[in-house]
Amino acid sequence: MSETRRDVSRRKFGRAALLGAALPAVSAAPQQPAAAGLSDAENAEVEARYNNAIRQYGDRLSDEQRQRIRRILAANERMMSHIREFPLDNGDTPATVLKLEGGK
Amino acid sequence: MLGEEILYLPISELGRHLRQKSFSPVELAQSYLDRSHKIGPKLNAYVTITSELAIEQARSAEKEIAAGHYRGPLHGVPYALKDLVAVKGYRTTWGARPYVDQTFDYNATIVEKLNAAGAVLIGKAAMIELAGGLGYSNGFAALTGAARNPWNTECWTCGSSSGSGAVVAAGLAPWAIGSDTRGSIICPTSWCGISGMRPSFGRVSRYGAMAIAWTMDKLGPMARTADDCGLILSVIAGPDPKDHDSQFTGPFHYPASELEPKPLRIGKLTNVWGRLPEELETAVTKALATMEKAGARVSDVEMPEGPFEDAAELTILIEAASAFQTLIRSGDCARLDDPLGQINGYASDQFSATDYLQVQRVRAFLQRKVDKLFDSFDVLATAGQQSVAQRLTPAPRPQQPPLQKGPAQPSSQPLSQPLSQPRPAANRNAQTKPPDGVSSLCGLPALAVPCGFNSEGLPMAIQFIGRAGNDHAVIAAARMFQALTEWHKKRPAIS
Repeated sequence: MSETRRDVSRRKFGRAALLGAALPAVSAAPQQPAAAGLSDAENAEVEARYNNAIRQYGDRLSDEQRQRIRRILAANERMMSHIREFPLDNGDTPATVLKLEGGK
Repeated sequence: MLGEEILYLPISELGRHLRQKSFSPVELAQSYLDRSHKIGPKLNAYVTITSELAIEQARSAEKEIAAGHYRGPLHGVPYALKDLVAVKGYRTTWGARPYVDQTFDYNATIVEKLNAAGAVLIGKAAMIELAGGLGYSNGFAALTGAARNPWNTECWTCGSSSGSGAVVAAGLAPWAIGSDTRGSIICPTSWCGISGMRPSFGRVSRYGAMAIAWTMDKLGPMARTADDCGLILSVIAGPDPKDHDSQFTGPFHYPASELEPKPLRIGKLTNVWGRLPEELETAVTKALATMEKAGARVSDVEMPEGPFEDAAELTILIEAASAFQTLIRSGDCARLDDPLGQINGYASDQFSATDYLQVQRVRAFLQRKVDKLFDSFDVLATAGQQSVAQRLTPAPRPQQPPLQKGPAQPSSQPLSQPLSQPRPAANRNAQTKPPDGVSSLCGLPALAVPCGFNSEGLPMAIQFIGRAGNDHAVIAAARMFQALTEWHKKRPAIS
């Protein structure tokens, strides 16, 4: 993707991020599974991840801790949402490096 | 015992006295040990004071210097080490209850380098549990209780290198090693009124140091002056095959005036931190005006827009979930002091591999955008932190059963505001746009130094951020400022 196109997209991202930032950092009420600021699909993902966390670790958690985990998952989803909005091309590589040993 | 006028000297001055035999390394080490035993517990500054080792190393330095074998600027000079770095034969607790008896049978690379330089280890400095790796809510999330700020013991030092900040500010040692994943050197440096540097990512080997986030963790110096930071960095930096992320092939030479930018081009960041307290904003503006008068070129600049904070936070959360996988899966995270740390790993364990790679793809793009700023500027400047040191509030809240042995009991008093470095997801505030996420995500060096005191007598700081790999520029900028001012020479009234 050209830098110009990407800058335009970034402005679009900036507006989206501002809308997201205007929401409270942790807005989900304990009894309300749907987190504000997330789409239905994102809320569904939060719910799926919450259920998986409870499946894995639920026997260690109090009700209060479970509610807090749900809020944390919603906050994490919001951050991931900002990342997913950022335009990337197929060839955009991650900032991870395979370091060759080369017989050292 | 040597007096404060000696114990607060910078490294170069201490070294000069040692070479001139004004006092001996043993006398110097004993003076810092005495002060550490006397004042350290009041500040919760240490996990372990390594008295025997310190005297042994000081005696060795004394003999060598007397014989004319001078190893360099740190020879015979005491220091403290954040308790996440392995020292053979001593506990390395990572500041956390589950690791209270942990020992290693080897030295970290940084310890080997400091031993070879003849430095004298006074003690293992206190820290936030796991350096905040699984999140934390306040300064009391530490095995040894909240580290108290020498400028006002009702205030916190900030974290996670909380003990390192207290040790240097209180004159318990002339310098210390801290670690910084996202602000954990810069924040305690700023709140404690000292000079501290986060080197470029990959400059200093982390072999033998606890990992939070492999692609963001750095070790660095906290000291009296920027010059001290340069001297320490010249000893601890260098390639290490034992650290996968070691990025530089050669040593770090200091001083190296030919590598320092002249005239210095400073970009004053105008869109970070949100609204600063007026006193702090004024102090930073005055600091830059002072530098401009002395020949620096200062102009305003904006940090590019982008999901820097999100990318930094997510990188830490996901990498920490892997780094502390054993703790999370075993359920031992329940033994951490902080309620957030007890459960945050369970949430972070739910990220997918695609999530992580997506963040890292965005990160590479953000790195290039930020790097372009340094075509026009040698360093970016802004306040060291968004505020001065925050107060601790007396609101007891029981958390964990007391330890049967080991260091002082953690207090359960929360801070008046949840402040943490790195910030836990539940407490983050992206609207304030802190620059530590950007600079840490991109592996940039930064150096914070005091630039004044507010009306309550608490230190205020300015930080200089440089291009990745250009550690000389941030040292040069901070050193230039300290040559023009006296803020770094102030010391707290503590006894």
